[in-house]
Amino acid sequence: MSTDPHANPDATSKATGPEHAGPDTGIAPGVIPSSGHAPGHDDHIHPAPRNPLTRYVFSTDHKVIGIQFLFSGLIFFVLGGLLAMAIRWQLAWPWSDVPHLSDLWGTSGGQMPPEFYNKLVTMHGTIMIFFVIIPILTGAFGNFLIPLMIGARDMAFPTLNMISYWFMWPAFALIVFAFAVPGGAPEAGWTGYPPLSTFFWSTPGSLNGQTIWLVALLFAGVSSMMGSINYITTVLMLRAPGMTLFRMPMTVWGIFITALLQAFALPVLTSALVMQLLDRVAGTNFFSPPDWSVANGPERVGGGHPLLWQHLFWFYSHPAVYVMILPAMGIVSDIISTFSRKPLFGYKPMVFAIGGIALLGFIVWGHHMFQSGMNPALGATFMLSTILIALPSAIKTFNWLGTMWGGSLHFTSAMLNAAAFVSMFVIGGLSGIFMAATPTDIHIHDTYFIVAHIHYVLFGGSTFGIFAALYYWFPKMFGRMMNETLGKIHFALSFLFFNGTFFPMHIVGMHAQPRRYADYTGYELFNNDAVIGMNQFMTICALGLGATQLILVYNFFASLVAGRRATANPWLANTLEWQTASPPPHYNFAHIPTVYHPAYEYSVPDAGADYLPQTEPLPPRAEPLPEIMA
Amino acid sequence: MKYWSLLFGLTTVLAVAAFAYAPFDDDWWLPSYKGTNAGALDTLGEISGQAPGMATMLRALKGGSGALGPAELQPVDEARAWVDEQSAKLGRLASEGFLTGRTRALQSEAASTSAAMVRAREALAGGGEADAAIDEAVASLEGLGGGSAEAIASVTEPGGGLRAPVSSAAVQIDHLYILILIITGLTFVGVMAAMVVAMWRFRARPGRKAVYSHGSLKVEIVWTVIPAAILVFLALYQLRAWADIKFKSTYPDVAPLAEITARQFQWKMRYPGPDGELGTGDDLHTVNDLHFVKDEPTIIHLKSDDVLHSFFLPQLRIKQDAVPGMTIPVLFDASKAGRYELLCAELCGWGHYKMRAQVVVHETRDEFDEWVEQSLRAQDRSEPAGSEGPSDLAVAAPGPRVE
Repeated sequence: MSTDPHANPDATSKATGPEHAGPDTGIAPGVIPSSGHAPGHDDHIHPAPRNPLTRYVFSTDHKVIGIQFLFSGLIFFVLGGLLAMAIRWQLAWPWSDVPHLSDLWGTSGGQMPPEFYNKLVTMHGTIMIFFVIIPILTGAFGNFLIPLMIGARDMAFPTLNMISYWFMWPAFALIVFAFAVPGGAPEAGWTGYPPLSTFFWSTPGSLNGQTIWLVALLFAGVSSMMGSINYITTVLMLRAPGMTLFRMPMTVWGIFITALLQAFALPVLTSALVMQLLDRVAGTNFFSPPDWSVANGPERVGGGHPLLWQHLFWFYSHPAVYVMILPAMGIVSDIISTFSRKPLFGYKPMVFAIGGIALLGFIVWGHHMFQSGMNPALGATFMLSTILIALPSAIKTFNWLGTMWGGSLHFTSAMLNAAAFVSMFVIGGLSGIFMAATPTDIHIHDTYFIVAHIHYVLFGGSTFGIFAALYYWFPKMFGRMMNETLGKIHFALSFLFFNGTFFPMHIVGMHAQPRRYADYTGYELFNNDAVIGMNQFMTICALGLGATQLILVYNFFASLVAGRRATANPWLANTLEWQTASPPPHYNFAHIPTVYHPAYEYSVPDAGADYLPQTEPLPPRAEPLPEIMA
Repeated sequence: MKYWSLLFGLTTVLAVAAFAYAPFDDDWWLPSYKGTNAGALDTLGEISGQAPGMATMLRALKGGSGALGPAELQPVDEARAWVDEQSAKLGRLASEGFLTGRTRALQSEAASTSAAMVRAREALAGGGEADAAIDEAVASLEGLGGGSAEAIASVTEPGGGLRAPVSSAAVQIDHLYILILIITGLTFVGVMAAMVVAMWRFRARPGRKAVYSHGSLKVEIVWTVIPAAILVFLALYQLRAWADIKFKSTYPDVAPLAEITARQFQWKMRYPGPDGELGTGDDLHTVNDLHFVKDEPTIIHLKSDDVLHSFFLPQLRIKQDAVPGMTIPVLFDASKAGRYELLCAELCGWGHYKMRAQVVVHETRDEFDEWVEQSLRAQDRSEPAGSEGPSDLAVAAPGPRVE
């Protein structure tokens, strides 16, 4: 798309100071017209700290913290991805030598020990969920974008923000250290079901690794909790004049509702983690049945119940699934609207759909437990709520299509990744109906169909959302443009290899290939050319998918150093972060901007350009915005 | 570039094609009867296919006079070798539990065929009266071929396929599966078509401005109400199947077939002995060997000895976690006799992947009773380890009882 200099207004000259016309309070009666933004931040500006240690490392600046979260998340993305490659290698060519890793396994002749495969599965899931997707979506983009998009100078609690990042470091260190303890990394899956996880001798990874895993997740959870409180407070208290709740960009809505989800669900996970930790180290029996022993280990008094963990874990971890997708939904809404040069179709229905997903998200956890031995009548009620949660997701998809329909689509890397998000989320959402239906779930539960589903949502959805966000906000973060040609090559290859890797999983999953199997070829059902051939195809695509990410790594660092200088508003977007310099100064805005309308006023008739920043009033002859939709 | 829409279109087409042409041949995608019985069916198919040709060949030798030379007798020798080979295969099938009654009968038919062929050959080589022996061999060859064809027919649908669901749970689940597949498939194709069209038609072109619209309440209501109606229909429609498969209140009143205890990494089966009661001294213990009778609703009591496991019969579409401290009744049946596989579907430790058991569905109750009797005799002879304790790693391993 064109990036004419004349269309890029100097941000500060456009920003209207508080001394100018006040916020338009007449449009949304009854809604708090503006925030009571923190006193003392209106007029005076804090300079950036001079000391490099407080400027770049122990910084309280939300932008630096966001970038810190981004870098650590991307580093763990590489680690989690490498673990996935090893998993795929074993599945395509069971027990063959694995490049580089086989040197570790002299005692087993270079073959991957089956318990190591379980470690890979466990750590891949744990790292991707708790150390990549959640930190990048909420930690990196949440931190970087919330104050910029609502027109604040920083988070409500900058020091808490800094502490929340540094609380991730014990988690980072521990989760890597888990590989080095006797018995090795945990093996109970990212779900950590007891008694496998609580009895020391049940499997090697439960000897020590599981304890490390629990402590690491506790740290990550506390970090998320601090972030959530900060985000909620910031969004509620620090909005710029005129930035009513229903003028916030969808990205902020997505992250705000995610923060609410985290705040209400995380305490349950934290309690569950502490309970399992006590079961392991203090001899309590929350999850051990009476007089129980595993693998001839010492008997425990018991008295607890293994299903209790599943209820507590999924009470958090189902909302956590939405924690991983809602921010991406918000991000994608913004990107699609910007590059369609068209107002978001049904802004308010989109907000209510996110809210609906979050609310329903709290009453669907039991669908992970249909086959768990839970009362099947309870399963029927969870089935109903689970099927209903497909509705707001469908509404969102249709609204994205509605936004594109009639637009003027600019296929930038960010837009392509956002479009990929929509199409892949459709597959992930629709395959969810198969497992929401309790009878079909009987067959596909714990098969590769589930693996396909989670990867269509978490890779096809969240990760393409992350890619889109990265291409879109990279200029704002680092003041330089990413290379669009490399970006498009990276997108096209990722998109094809992603589908090649994960689509056949639906088919082998329907054919009942179970997940978490180090070797499926010992079964007559799977020891045939069709299943093995598809697994090999998937592995080759997975290796291609992994290699493709090198393009992103190169593009990222090359652009960081030598990319074209970004203007303040390279995408000609409306939201507030584009109305200040790229990268924004330490204090974000020279004057706190005043907001006149929602974020999606693109192609307004009678306006000169096809975009209208939130800091500029609607043209005088414009009709009032429809109240129900916008 | 204006061709980006094609990338999305191509992916959609490939996705649909992958479902339509899943490379599973007769087995399609949902695991069916063929998955574990293909080898056996091939053997039976070979026998029923080749036997008539051999019979014709033998009949052609009838009425001849004079001794035949080795060259002329070679087809007879080859036929006999083939029959012996099939006999060995049938023996294997019987011992694996594939249609035991039929395969055992076929094996003895094959033995008598072979014997008749030997007699016929001797007569032909000696120049004597061979017709009676040939008739006998032909008759028993035809019996062998016919019996094999019958055995195949007993597990084949009228249409000749093997895809049909093999249990009442599978009938309900597969029906629901196809229904959801059609609904989601049409939705997927529709959404992707709209997206591809939008990406093509509304790509940025100079001089054209996007439509300024914030949405339409009417459209929002339409695309909320229609999916909601479909979803509510789906939710209510499936309740019956779920209740039939999992609700204890709908279970038929039958005595449990066995108590199955999962442990790292095997399935311990305990069948009531002659007294018909579980937990008595005459119980039959097996490891990784589940037997039940075709078309009979079967209930097992599922337990765990250590960690979580999951009782998964893919071809019968049954899955139930085994939970420490709980005894969970599981109901299933099978409409075709033959061999199936039992998997563990819940991560249970390093050996999770190899926690496999064979499942044998007997054609008749008599066949099953005979198996129980034989196994009990074998159990008494070998004095295997009891069901409790760690030393029951193999049925045949003699060891002290740990009860």
